[in-house]
Amino acid sequence: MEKTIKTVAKRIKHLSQKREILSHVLKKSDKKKITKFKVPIKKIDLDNLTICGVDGGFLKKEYHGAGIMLRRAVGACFRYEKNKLANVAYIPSIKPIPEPIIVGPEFSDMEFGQLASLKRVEKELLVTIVTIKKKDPDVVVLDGSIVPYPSNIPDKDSDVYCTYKYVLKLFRKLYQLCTKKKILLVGAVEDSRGCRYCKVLLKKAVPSLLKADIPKKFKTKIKENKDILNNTTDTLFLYYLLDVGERTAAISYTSKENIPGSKGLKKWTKAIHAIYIKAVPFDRPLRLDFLATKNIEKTADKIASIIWQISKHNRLYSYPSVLIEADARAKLTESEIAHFKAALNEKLGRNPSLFDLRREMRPF
Amino acid sequence: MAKFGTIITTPDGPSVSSFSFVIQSGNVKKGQFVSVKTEEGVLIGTIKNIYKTNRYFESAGAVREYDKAGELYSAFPVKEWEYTIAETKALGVYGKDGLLNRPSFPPSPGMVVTDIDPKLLNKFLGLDQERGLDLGTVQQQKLRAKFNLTKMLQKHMAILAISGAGKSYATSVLIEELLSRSPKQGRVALLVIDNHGEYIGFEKDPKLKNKVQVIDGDDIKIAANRLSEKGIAAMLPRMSAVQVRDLGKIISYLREEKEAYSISDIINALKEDENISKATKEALVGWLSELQSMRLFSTSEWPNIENMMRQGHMVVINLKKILNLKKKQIIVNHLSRKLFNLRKQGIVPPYLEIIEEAHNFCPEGKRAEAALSRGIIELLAREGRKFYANLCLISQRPIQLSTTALSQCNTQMVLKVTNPYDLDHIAKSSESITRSTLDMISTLKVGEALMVGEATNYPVFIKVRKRRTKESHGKKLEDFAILYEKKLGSKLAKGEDFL
Repeated sequence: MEKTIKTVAKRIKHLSQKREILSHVLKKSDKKKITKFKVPIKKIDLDNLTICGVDGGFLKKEYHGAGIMLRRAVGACFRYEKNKLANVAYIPSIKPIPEPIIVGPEFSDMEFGQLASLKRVEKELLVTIVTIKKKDPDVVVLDGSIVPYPSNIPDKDSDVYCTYKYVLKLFRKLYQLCTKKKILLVGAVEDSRGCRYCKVLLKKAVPSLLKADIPKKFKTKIKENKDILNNTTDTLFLYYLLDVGERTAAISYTSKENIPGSKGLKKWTKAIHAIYIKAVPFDRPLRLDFLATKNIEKTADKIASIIWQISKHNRLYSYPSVLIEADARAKLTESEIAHFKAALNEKLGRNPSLFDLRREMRPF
Repeated sequence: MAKFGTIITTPDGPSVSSFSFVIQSGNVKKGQFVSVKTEEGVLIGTIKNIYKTNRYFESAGAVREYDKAGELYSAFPVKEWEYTIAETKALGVYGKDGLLNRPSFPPSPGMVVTDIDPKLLNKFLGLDQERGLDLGTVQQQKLRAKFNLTKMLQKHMAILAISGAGKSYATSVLIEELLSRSPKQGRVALLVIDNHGEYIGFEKDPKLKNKVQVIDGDDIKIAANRLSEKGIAAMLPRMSAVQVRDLGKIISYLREEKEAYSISDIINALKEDENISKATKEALVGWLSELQSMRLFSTSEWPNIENMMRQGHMVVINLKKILNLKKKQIIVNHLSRKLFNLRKQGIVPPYLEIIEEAHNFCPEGKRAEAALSRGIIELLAREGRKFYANLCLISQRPIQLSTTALSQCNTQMVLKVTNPYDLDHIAKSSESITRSTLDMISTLKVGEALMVGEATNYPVFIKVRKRRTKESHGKKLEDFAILYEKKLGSKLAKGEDFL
């Protein structure tokens, strides 16, 4: 065991060193203004600004002949005046009653999982649209991306597909609404595993640097360590590359690659972009997806400034305060689904549809 | 009834013995009585503890981090997350039959907790709003703390607190109530053993002066000729059986010879008697001389206890000027014993004997010669109830007070007590005092008291009412020191004049 731990530790250390070395060289090169990997975020005051964070609470449980889902979403709208939180409002309410969804046994395990994810997103989008209509905010921040996750895309012949289509429709409606009302739409991805930014660095920045007039030793180091960009997530690498108060350049969500499901977004596909910001010293950079049809870097600047301002309160943790609050309000506990099932049982008696799965009811 | 909050689920409840509720409105305080309408009837509870919770302050590390930036309040809606929870002990349920039962089924989460109907609380506590002694208000409630005379006093009472917590004040309120009662309400006679002259002010009160008689301790005389050898032996516990027998012979001789005689007559007769051994003679003469030096014994007795005890009236024995504790104990022993005997014979009315600084007169663990009045006080505590001879013991050191006497005081009025040994002693002497109640005793403010025992069905905190009679406050330490120095200065000036 000890030997294994040593080997694993050595491997992790080796990869981390490669990331650190490469990021160091890129930083030095960046100073020479050969290329722009990162941009300082402008400090702004939050004054006369309404920022809404929307997050959902979701629970699902499978029984012998049915699946129960409970969902709710809350929009936490913070009104800032003179850089301070002046008041807060909740849409639809401070603690909405969870909405139950019962599904039959016709779904496979995978479909049940996809349906659950889509139902959660669906609820969040519906509440986001209502929030925008009621509060007319300056910024809307969603928990997670502002596009459907590829893993949630069902087969076209699946029973879940219609739900997926409806979710896509809601996304498009949201984009339309935000564009019309000039609202900044942002998705804060809590634990991004994306690696697109590193791919962009590898394909564009690294070759141009190798051709540029930089010291030879820099070029050697880049050549020695560039392979790490194929073997890392963006946040792992950017932890070294970005300094506090910096963001990456904006990258297009689709670029030239064919992202699964992006076609469903239709004309909006090219309007989705992403940046990473480093808000605090001891946490990873935070990925922010955003909607921008024009002035992409300007929009990225504005979004980075606002999100940095509401995510930098804790040196160990960076996440927008509006989403921390929305999450706390929307979160569901296991007991809530148990209460719902108990209420169902009361009406149905001992019904085999609601038998617990055998694997969850071992007698010993 | 005003709604206070809603019952919530906790890891332990709601259960038949306790429940918690989130406070939504109202001025809810620790110790307050509340009610909940349940399937069983009206559940009555008392708030044991109140605490606040806020998810933004649950993680010490996070709070420290956000505090560093000084932005927790400006970044998050912190106040929106503050909830106040009241932990409540279930005390009983009034069913549809109107009877109080133990809760046998818990209230449900979501049930509404309300203020309690004062009439119901009065019934629950067993107070007597019609004829009770009005000592103040039940804390946190709109209910007079009126205790039934019989329940409060017949099985004796103790008033316990540290110095300055309001014992004498509370006792004065009790006295006011007892002296203000009409014959229809039932009145007792009062005897107050006033160690520091705290109750002599009643004599000057315009409303009560006709009901109060103050007797200076120095004026009290015990007729030596009415003392038997056993009576004298009670004051001199070191006497042996032989010495008591020899003293008895002398007393018999003097009774035949004289109608009235004094201690000095006994001493002289002892000295002249040739049949008593020299050793006995010397011991008896020594002890009797000690008694004689107290200037307490005479040929006739004063005051006449038979005549002075009247219903609705109070006699204050002012022992302020007497420094000798033994003399004080002899006076208390004499008066208490005589009064009890007269009560047993039906000669004096039912009475309440209030003994201030009771630990001085009925101490725990002291030898007999240092506790001359302990025997009669313990006897009164044990047997007085049957003869309507009631005791009220007041002490600032309960641990030094006889356990026998204190345990017989079935009603206890406990004001602030901080000494852990005293608190422990109080807890041991009353089974209805719980740990949490005990904790509250040490934090009581002046004038707040816990009533526990026979007078109330459940321990209840009260706020002692204001006195209707004039208070006789002592001077502040600074003022007294200034006055004393002025007096001292004038004395010295007079001395210099002589020089």
